[in-house]
Amino acid sequence: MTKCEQDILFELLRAAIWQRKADLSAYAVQGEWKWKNILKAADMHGMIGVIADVVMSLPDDFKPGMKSQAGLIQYVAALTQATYKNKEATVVIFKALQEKGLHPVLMKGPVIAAFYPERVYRSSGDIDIYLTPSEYEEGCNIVNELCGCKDKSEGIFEDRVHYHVSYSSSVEVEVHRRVGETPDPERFGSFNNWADDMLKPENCKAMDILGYDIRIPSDCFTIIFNYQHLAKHFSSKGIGLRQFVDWALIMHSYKDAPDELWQQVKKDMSVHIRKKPWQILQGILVYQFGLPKEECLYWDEKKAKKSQGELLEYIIDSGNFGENMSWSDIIKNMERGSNRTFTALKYLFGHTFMLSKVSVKWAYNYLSFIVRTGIENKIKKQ
Amino acid sequence: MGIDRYLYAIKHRKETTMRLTHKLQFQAMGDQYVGVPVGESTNKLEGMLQLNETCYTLISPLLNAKDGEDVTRKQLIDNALEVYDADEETLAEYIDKITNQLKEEGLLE
Repeated sequence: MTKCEQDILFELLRAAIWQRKADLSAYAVQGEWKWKNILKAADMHGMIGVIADVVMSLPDDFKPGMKSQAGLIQYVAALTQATYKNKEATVVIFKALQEKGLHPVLMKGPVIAAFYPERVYRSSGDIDIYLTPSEYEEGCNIVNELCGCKDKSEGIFEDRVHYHVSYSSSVEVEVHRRVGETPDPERFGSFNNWADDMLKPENCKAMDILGYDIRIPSDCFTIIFNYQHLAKHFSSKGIGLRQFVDWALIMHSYKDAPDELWQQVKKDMSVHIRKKPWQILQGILVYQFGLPKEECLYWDEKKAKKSQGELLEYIIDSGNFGENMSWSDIIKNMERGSNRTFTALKYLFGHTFMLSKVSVKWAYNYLSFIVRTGIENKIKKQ
Repeated sequence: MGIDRYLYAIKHRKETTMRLTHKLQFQAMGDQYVGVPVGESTNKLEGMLQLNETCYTLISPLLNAKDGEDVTRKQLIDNALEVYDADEETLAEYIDKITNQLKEEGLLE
């Protein structure tokens, strides 16, 4: 992807999220660019639905070819249907859980999508439902019944934080007993205890989905958890542009929020979040996505500038949640001892190096995790 | 029929109502709107409906009506009069043209 293509992609994203027309005239004369590369990058970052309207609103001279335009329309049509299916499934599952006296809370994708402007389509994959640890088992049984599974053995998998199951061919459900997300393993317990408290019914609010009130987390939780989710993915695998757009829109949405909310956010952040990585990564919100500095929290120009250059390039290459890095393929190749081991090692050290630019602690945690996992796998095989 | 009876009939005629035969959800894409079947309609209807911004606006009360809610021709004309600086007759003509086409396609009843 050329520098010009990157600039155009960012201009399209800024135009989409701040609801204005994109102006490509300045970029189009700068250098080489192809729509194919820009749309491919947008797709890699899960942002096609976000830029589709802006691309189709460009003057005819700048629009992509008819084939690409048709592709965009079809993509958005499919996304609209998938999102509706997701909403229908959410309502069915929430009704079933609530009828049994449980208190589910909807998290992540659909909650974040509500921060996006109306003409923009932010895709979201799974339905993430939080249930208190005491309601978790019963909740899983109810969800299993709706998904046509006898028990958890028929689900996709279960780990210490959640159970993953298919509701239908296109909708997957994750039932969480713990929210899990934190880039600092030593803070896992305290962060999850805080989350358990924040997700109590009395601390939540409601969102309308297809005419049904769905319980969602409070504003304070959303601000902190969204960042933790981003930080957790960055520290373990990688993050893409969508995670930053989510963050920018959340910060923008609360710019006029009462001081009490920001006081609470600061108080909770001081316990659960490392300030320096927040300040560094926040640079992308301002420099790439045009979030006003005044809408940032703990803005520090010097630290924010560290997000540019190599780190930004790495994020652009990573794709949505680092999926472009084919993490699982690399691990498999390492385990097989294939000739791609060198590539895998290059990736591991490259990722560690990028992490160290944001937080040396995260880099250390990551390397420790890799070494520990490697030893555990070796022992298992023996 | 005498003119008085004709005027009485017009005044008291039952306003014809219409509704979409399928549940469609629309998304803005530049200067057009793309409507796709959602919910149960996904299994009954294939493809999508593309409307330009003017068509969409002229019949938006119909497209955005809640499930099973009927919309009258008058409601569409009143809505159009609020949006466009045009006379009632012209707008009614456009609305009839669009709704007739949707009826022919089996999307309106």
